[in-house]
Amino acid sequence: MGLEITDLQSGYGNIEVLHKISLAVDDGDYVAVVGANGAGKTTLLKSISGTVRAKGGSIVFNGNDLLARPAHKVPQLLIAHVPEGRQIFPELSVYDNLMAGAWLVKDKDQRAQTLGEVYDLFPRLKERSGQMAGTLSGGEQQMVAVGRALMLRPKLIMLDEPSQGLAPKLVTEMYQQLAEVHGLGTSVLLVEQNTTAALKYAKRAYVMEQGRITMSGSSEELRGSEEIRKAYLGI
Amino acid sequence: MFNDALTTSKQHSARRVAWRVAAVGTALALTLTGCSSGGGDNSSGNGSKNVKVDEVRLGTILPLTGSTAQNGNNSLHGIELAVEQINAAGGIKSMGGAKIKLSTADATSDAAKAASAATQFLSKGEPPLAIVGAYASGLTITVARVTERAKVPLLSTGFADELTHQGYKYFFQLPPASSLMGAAQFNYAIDIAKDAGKSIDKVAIVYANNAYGESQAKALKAQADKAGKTVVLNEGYSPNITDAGPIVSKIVASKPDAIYSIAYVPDSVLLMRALKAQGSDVPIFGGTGGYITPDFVKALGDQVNDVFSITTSNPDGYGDIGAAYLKKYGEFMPQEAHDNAAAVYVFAQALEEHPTTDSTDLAKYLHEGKFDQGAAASMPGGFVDFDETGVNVNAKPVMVQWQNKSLIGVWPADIVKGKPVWPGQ
Amino acid sequence: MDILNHVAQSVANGLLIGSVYALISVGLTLIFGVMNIVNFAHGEFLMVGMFGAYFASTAFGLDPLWIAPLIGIAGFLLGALVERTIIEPIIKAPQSAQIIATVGLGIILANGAAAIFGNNFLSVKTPYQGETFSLFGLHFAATFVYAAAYAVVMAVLLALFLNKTRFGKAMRATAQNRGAAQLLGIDPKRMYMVAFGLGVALVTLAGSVILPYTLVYPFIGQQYVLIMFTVVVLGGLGSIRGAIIAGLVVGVIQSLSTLLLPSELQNLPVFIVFFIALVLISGGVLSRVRNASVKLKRS
Ligand SMILES: Nc1ncnc2c1ncn2[C@@H]1O[C@H](COP(=O)(O)OP(=O)(O)OP(=O)(O)O)[C@@H](O)[C@H]1O
Ligand SMILES: [Mg+2]
Repeated sequence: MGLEITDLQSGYGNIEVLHKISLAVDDGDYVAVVGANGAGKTTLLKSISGTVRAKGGSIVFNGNDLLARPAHKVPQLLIAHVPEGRQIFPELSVYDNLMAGAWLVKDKDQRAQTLGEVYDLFPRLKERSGQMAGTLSGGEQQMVAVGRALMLRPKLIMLDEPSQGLAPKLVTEMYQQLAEVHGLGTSVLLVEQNTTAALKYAKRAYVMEQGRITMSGSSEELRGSEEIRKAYLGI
Repeated sequence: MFNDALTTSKQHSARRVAWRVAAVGTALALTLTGCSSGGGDNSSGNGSKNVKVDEVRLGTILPLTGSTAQNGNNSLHGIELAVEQINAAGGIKSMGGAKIKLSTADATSDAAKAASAATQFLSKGEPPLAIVGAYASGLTITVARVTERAKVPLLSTGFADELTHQGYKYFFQLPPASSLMGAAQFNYAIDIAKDAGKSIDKVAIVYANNAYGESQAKALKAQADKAGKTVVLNEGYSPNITDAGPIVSKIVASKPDAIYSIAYVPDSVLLMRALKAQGSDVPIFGGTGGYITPDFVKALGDQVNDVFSITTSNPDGYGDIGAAYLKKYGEFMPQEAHDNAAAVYVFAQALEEHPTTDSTDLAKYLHEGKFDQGAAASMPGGFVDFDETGVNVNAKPVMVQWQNKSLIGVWPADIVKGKPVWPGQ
Repeated sequence: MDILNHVAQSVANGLLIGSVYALISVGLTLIFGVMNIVNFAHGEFLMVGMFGAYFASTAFGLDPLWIAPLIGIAGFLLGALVERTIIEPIIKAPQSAQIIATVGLGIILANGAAAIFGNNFLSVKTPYQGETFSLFGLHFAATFVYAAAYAVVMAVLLALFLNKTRFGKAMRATAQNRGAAQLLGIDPKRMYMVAFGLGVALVTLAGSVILPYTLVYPFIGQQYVLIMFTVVVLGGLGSIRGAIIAGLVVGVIQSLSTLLLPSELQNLPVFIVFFIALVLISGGVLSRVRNASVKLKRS
């Protein structure tokens, strides 16, 4: 069970970006996909959430064919996507941004409870709940983006470079908070250029180069690999 | 206050550009639809005294869409009815019973489009022998330029004075010109007041600021000055107003003894309503346009009673064609329908008396003859008689008044049957 | 004293007519804000609302003011249908295609109305058409007061919808970032359909509300287009509050200018304001003021 991707081909117009990619995220897994600029990491997440239409292969989540769904129906399977560049709603308040994440949650009590949990995880957001999200600092906006995704109580959360643009201290904080979320049973699919951080927190990882998976294994194994050390960890 | 922003500022800049593109795009689209062309060359047929043909072609160019579409369509109804009547009575007998074949073009309500419609009309297929149109003076001016060049007679019900000041040889104006209408609107009102033992010293003139409104208002003003009356308000407004409140405030504040108003239907109704709302009971003298239309009474009901208007022909003297119109269209025959029908009768009678298939020949005879058949007989004075400039020298304005929600000719006494009732008496 | 009274009366009249301007324009800005579509047929939808109100009120013998909510609901359905069939297919098309589609729609609506209903000027008769209210020596025509009251109620309802309901907030979210909204399970097509429906509902309802003081004919939409676009641009494209304030501003400018200028120039100041708003400060004067005030309030 979990997320299973087989021979996925995807891209933009006539340009194929992903060439027969296969990977899996099991229930409760914490998987990272690392790779250089333009490798196709964002394209991979967009193909899963349906905002880029795949051209071949399959994506199945807990028995559901994702390729048969329009983008707005993917979250119904409790898959949340924190997109690259945060993409918050700048002229909604922090509170309204978070609540927008619970659009599919029809139960009012559940929404209130989850909001409490998100506030516990990011106390700063509670302080700023009435503020326009567009006026927040970059780090705070990243919290809004993650918090908003968590409002769905997702089974799988996908994050696209959550550390981008954050000070090192905040990167650490962010990953600790993610670890907490993962600890509560949410599967994580993380896409990162920041290989050090990704391999530190994820259980398993895939290396992507020019639209192909070139290596995979446990984070520990990859951290030990000579190639990885040279190419990505700069050691 | 609530926050309701729907867009972000980043989106704004992209949208700003988009918006400008949109604005320019629309402007372009609007102009482009107005441009069509066609070479206007009209080769006249052979004139001969002994012509027997199956049909004679009559064209009409009218504003059938756009803001004056109602008047245009009313005019068309009148024209069609006249054509029907003439054909049913045997057509042009002197031409072997030739039937009038009517073709119609839409001038829209835009002068530039009217001209291009006229050009197209005259350049495609066999051109008509004469044209009736184009209702509004502003449209008629541009259409007349085209028909003059093509040497096709244009029988018009437009009022503007300038129409007959161009030295045109193919232009014929059935109703009295604006200056006459304005003068009559002014003087008849003074006379009617005197007749009722009242006097009008201070007058307010309000008008829609298009060709028709402005020329008639100018005549009113000149007449007031000549008569030594005080013009306490002389105010033009856009015919597109959506609220007459501010103008009516000005009227009321100027405390006139009489209001002279030149308006189409929408602004006449807005003015009337606002006058009532502001409690005015000053007598109103309308200048044709909206004041004599079926819609005016439909919109205002009893409120129309006592309102005067100057017009070109006496609606309670329309006779057979008036009755036929009422039967066919379920409302009384409007002035523009009648006068355009008169134009068709003039055309038919000219051919009857002077058979020809040549437009120039026809124009010559239109200047010579006197026309008193059908609806032409219910033009004031009983007949239509054009001088060399195309002015109907027999034309005489008529003052009508709404009495019991009907239009009654009330002045001058020698050409009407009704009697004026001074408002409030 | 007399002049003061004139000014006060003019401002009051301007506010009444201005709130009507806001009501007829707010749907245009809503549609643009959410969908980034300029609905050039907005004036014609006003005409459709007026015709609807005319026929419904003459058929049932009811006042257009009572019928207005029903016209609004019918307008919503019409708008939603138009969105699905005409707007949805061109939502991602180039701007020029969108212009042609909505301009074309307007032409079809106006000429369709002319073909079906004829070119008559139709209006309703209501008992209060000649009534006025007097307050502090000022006079208000009843028809305008009722229309303005409707405008205020609709503005409040719209504000509540957009700011207090989950659906309204989701609509604003979609407006601000369609892609992100989609990732949260919000169906943008549904939002677009509802936004367009609401925009049309507001303007058709407005048509019903203004009918008692005016009259309707197929091409009346063109008379309101300048006002609508001025209000929307001045208020800041896509800003509801901006449009409401701009409506009032335009109403007051127009009304005050007739005190000083001949009536025929009453649209001149409006044109000037429109020009400035469009060319020099595009993005909207009032939206800047608003942004500034938001910042001031929050920091
Ligand atoms: N909308 C698009 N249209 C066409 N090509 C695109 C589009 N988006 C991305 N690409 C191309 O697809 C390839 C993969 O892009 P993608 O954004 O998936 O890379 P990435 O691994 O996420 O890179 P980064 O680490 O810089 O975010 C790149 O070559 C990019 O140019
Ligand atoms: Mg990326």
